[in-house]
Amino acid sequence: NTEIFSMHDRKKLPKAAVDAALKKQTAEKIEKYKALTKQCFELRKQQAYTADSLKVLDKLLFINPECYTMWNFRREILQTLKEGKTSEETNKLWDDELKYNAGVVERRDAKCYGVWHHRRWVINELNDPEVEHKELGMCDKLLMASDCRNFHCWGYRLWIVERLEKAGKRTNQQEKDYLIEKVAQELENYSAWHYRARAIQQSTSSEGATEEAASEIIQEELDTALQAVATQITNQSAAFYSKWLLAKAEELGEKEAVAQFLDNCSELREDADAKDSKWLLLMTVYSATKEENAALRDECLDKLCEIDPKHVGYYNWCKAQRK
Amino acid sequence: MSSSSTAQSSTRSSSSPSSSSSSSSSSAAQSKERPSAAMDDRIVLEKHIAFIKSLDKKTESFEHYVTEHLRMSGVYWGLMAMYLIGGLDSMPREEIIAWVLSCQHKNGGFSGNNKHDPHVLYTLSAVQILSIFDAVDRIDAAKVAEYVASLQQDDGSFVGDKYGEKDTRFSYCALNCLSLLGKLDAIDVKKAAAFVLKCQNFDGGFGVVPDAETHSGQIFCCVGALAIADALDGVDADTLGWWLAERQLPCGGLNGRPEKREDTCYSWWVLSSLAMLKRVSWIDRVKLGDFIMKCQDVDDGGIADRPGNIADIFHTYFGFAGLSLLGYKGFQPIDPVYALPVHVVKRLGLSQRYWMS
Repeated sequence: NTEIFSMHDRKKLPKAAVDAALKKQTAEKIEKYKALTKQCFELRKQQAYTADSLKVLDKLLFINPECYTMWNFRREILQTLKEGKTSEETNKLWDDELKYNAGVVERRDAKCYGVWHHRRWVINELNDPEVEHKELGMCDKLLMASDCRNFHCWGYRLWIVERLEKAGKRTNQQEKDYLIEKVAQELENYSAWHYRARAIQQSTSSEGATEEAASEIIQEELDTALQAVATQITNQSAAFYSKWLLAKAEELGEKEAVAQFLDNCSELREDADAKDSKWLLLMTVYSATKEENAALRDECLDKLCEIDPKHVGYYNWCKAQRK
Repeated sequence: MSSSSTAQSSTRSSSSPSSSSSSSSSSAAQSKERPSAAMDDRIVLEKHIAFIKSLDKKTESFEHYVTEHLRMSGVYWGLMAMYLIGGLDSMPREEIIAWVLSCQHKNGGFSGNNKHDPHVLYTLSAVQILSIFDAVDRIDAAKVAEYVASLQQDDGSFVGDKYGEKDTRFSYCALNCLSLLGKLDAIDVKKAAAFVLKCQNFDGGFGVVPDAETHSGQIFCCVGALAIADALDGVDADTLGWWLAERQLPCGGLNGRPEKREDTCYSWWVLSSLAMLKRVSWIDRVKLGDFIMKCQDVDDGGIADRPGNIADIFHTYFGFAGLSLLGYKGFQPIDPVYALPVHVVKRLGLSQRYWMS
């Protein structure tokens, strides 16, 4: 679709390729867009908050969903259209709006702030937990089909989850279960690890969470992180996740868990292919916190300087730290 | 290469207010900007100047029309890009000021362009442009402050406009804008900082709202906001510094999040954050500089997100800003918190406590 414009990753074509036909096509695209824009601003000036105006906006916003003023105009129209309607009619109004919005997300731009903001606005207007549950499914589908790292989608999903949790319609355990599966499916999915950290933080710090229960959870998560890097030695998410868990373990006084983690890392490093892998070296450094581990820690940091020289500044700083 | 050894030794000095990236530009920064003859010869300076100057004439490009709504930020990027390579004086000051003023609304906010609605993003860009031109007296600062303050929520956060999108980018916009106007007292700064700190994640980074995933762009906004609010001590600088350092990929470029591709604009978002945290030495500055150079369009000027791609003013500005922060000769000094010329920040008497001494 040549109408669609994106600021990202645009290959520069050799000048010969930008021929007369392409120039003509671009000129036509511009005229069409200019005409639509002119029409929409004119309709707004006339305060034409009608279904017909919505149809024109449908076209403009599909071409350029980044045009924030036009989403504002759209909301003005919808606020007018909902007046004096039966609940059945307004449900249809919002349902149609969610469908249109989903079309922009799925076929045009799933990474535009304005599109997701508008979706939240509609959901707010609707205020229906039944619909919100379906939104979770929409997010999951999009994350699986399109881009599992889409932070707009994850952020919108977070917003929905928070609403459902607040309304008592979704539990922390359900969220943990979802994310455990997500992380298992895609070990490299840093976004999933992030939301997993949120769920774990919730369960270890919620009212009634005992220190014993928290320690158990931390231990399980440390094992999961190790499993991840054992399965995929290039996995960096596990390293960031481990750093956080190890700090939590220290806070809880779980020195045994940290020592065990270090032993496990050393065991993994007995494999010649894994011995000098960056993330495993870092996980070793982060768990080699005792004075007796100082030599091992330094050895790993020296190795890191060798295999990852661009981060020498950080590794030398680490060496200079003495807990 | 002389510029690379300069980059390594002078990154700290390029960050300090008392010196800048090269001796010739420190005096230049105070008065009239002049391009330095000592600039790295990989920089196609004349092409870049031509590229920036041609932007408002790009009426044959579709991009020009679909970005019309954000022109206020586009003009700010263009001005800063010109400033960084010493060409600020050649920009049509009065014409730009008049256009900026024409985008102000009755409620004190500024829109991205004529006919568009006010928004905090473009209010910041407008105030930044006027600050660069020392023309803030042309607006009613109290009115602007009133508009920005009206966007603060009970939890200390800021929404972008009356439609209520909440985002830490807007916290940064509000704090930066009000600080430039000398009107931080219009808002609850402590609450603003407290909200930003609630967005601190397991990895030391920051997201759009509390519990949202860490992203380099949000980190810049949050660390910048906390710097202005004098609340940087709430940041876990060691953990965040490492996360930021790990944005550097084998190609030398920086990405925005783990497992993502390198992009020149992170030369700003990540590097300025590292500068604010006093940890620029945690990345390889020469390799980053080399990467930015490769992203230039040596035929038509400008810088792209990646080598071989189409250049745009956004990536051009942030590429130059990165080179400036890295200490490359011939680039004027930029303040990492306010994203403005250092002499402007100094003129306004704004604190540079976060600078490494």
